[in-house]
Amino acid sequence: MKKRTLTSLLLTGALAVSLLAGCGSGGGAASDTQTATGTETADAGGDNLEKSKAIDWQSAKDNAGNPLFIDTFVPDTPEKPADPDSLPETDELHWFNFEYPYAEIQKLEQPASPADGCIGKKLILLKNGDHPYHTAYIEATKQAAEIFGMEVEVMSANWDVNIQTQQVDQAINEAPDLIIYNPVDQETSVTHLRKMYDAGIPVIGSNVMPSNEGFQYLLSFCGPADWDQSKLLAQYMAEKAGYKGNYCVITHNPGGSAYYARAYGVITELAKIAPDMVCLDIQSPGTDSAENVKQVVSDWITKYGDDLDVIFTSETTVQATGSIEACEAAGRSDILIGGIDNSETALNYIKEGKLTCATNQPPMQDGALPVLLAAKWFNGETIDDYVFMEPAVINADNVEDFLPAQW
Amino acid sequence: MKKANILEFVSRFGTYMIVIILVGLGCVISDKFLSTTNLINILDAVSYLGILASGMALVTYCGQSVDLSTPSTIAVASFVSILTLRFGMIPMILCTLLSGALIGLFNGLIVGKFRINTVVWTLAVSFVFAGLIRVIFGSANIYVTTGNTRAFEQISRYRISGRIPLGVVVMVALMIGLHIFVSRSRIGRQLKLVGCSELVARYSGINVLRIITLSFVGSGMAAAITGLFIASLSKSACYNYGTGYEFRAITAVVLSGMVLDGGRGSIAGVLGGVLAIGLLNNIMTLLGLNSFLQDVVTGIVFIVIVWFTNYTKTKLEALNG
Repeated sequence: MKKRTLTSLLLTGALAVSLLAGCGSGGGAASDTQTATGTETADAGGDNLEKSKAIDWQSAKDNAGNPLFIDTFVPDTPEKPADPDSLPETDELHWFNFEYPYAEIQKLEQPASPADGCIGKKLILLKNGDHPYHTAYIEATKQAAEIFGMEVEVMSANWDVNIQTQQVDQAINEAPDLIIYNPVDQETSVTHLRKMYDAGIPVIGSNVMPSNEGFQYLLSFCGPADWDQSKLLAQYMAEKAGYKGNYCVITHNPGGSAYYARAYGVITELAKIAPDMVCLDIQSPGTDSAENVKQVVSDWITKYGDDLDVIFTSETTVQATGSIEACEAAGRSDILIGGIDNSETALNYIKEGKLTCATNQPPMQDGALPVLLAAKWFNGETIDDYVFMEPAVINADNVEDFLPAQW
Repeated sequence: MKKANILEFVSRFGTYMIVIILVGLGCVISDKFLSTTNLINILDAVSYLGILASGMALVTYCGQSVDLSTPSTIAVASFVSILTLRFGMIPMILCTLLSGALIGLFNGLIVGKFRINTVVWTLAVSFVFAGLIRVIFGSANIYVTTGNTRAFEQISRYRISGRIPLGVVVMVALMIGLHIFVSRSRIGRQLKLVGCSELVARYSGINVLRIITLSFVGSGMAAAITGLFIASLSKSACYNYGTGYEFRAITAVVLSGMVLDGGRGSIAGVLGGVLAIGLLNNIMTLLGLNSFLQDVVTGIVFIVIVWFTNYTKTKLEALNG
């Protein structure tokens, strides 16, 4: 009896610790609320609107002293080919539906802006999961919300689509003024977005694209220009390689828009500007284990030997580390390695001359952008349907401009 | 009797038969397969996995199924290693090993004392520690900034005689040490007996709780060594650094011919299981199979081996009465 009681107590204790840990972590149905503290709360009518419009957001800085809100662009969409699938995979128009998933979407009628000012409004950020990048993203979302006098509640699904489904319901029940949505899974996103739309809550998509159908429910979408930064990476690496040689590509995780964008953005661009460069292989060893990536790259070096000249990675922590270590172990310092995003790991490797370049995808600016759009919408301003962050290449010449790293 | 001998031989050395078949296949598909560089690459690629699997094998051998807390133990160890580096290399290594040993001790005492389902308990522990790390560090990476950073980075990069990675040496040394320990020592025999039948072991006067706890401490320390190598390789620590390793380690343990019920198999077999995984991945990449097909092939191999292990076990039990 005594033993049973002790067991029950231990199990209860363990469960309590688990719950506490989960709640605070953003894992599970984690949520975290921050109320605006640095600005005045909402007051009625035009006074609030005037005060909202008067907020000086342009001078806001991130932790490195760089502007929190960076340059953005609205993409031009080319004419859709009759049958994209009939085109070769090296033709960028083959990927038309992936690069411009919103092109043929007829948006549903969106809620009208209250046009009464952003101060005092409540946002819910439905985050896809935990990751060092997203930690910086969330920090910036909170910082931006504080600047605009808004309240923001963060719910992280910890990469679990079922948890995100529950959080969508929870968010609807809380009836916020606007939801910022980062989907865990593209396919399921349309169900989530339909629910939020039917509830009459405006939604801004951010960071990861929803499915094509999901765009019809969005007030706006903003985030990294994945295809553009892939192409920019390809252009820089091709120039460094003298527009010749063979390359291999490590993809991002399947299931998200980055999987296609960061692999085929590179491949299609190289086919256009450096037709002599040949893609030898594409592999997906994931983004969790540098050891797995190292094995794949080591195998490539064994298989292709001196024929392998360039490696493209879809992220710059695990994948860049694995690639660099494999090349160093094989004594292949001649292989050029370039990756997408700007982790501290990447910037250090660039400084050491081990990584040829990375691309600027700042998480803080990514996290602040949907809040800016939300604030403009609450203020009655027109916001674009699709807004992307202007990409840039980070190389040995300009790496100091991007330090200290945001994640 | 003859059939029983054949089955016994296959169950003991089946993994190495797979390794021989894969080596033969590798020779056929690529003339570079047998190059020293490629062979070292294969060993290097599975060295961390091998270290982890050798520890987890103790838990399996002891009849406690699998230790699913290893991803979090790896993550905790990676944080501990970076945070304690400022005190010097030796204290850092000791603290890292201690972190793994403590988690193993916690698991072992609870599972051994209260007979809680191992899978459920270790999974819960994994969630708890993963959550705690994220509470404390906010899902952010921490980087190596203080202490002997160069020596720390060399842990995963140092090559003996300029060729053999330290990770490979540690893996092989650990496997040899554990194999001798398990097959020759008194505690090793007790591990086997507990794995075969806890009841019999208890009636034989064996302190079952102590043996189960020891197996988990071994698993925790092996996971901590893995975490140390991963932190050194990545020059950082992050809550997700152990993700996926547990299932690869289980694959290696099962490929080795160990039965999840315990009491059968050997640590030498685990080396074979780890080599089989490394060879399989190497061959599939050399063949140009994409990652998704590689997963399919690995999964099929895993299913076949699990079926075959159970088949030989059942047949052997039937033949031996």
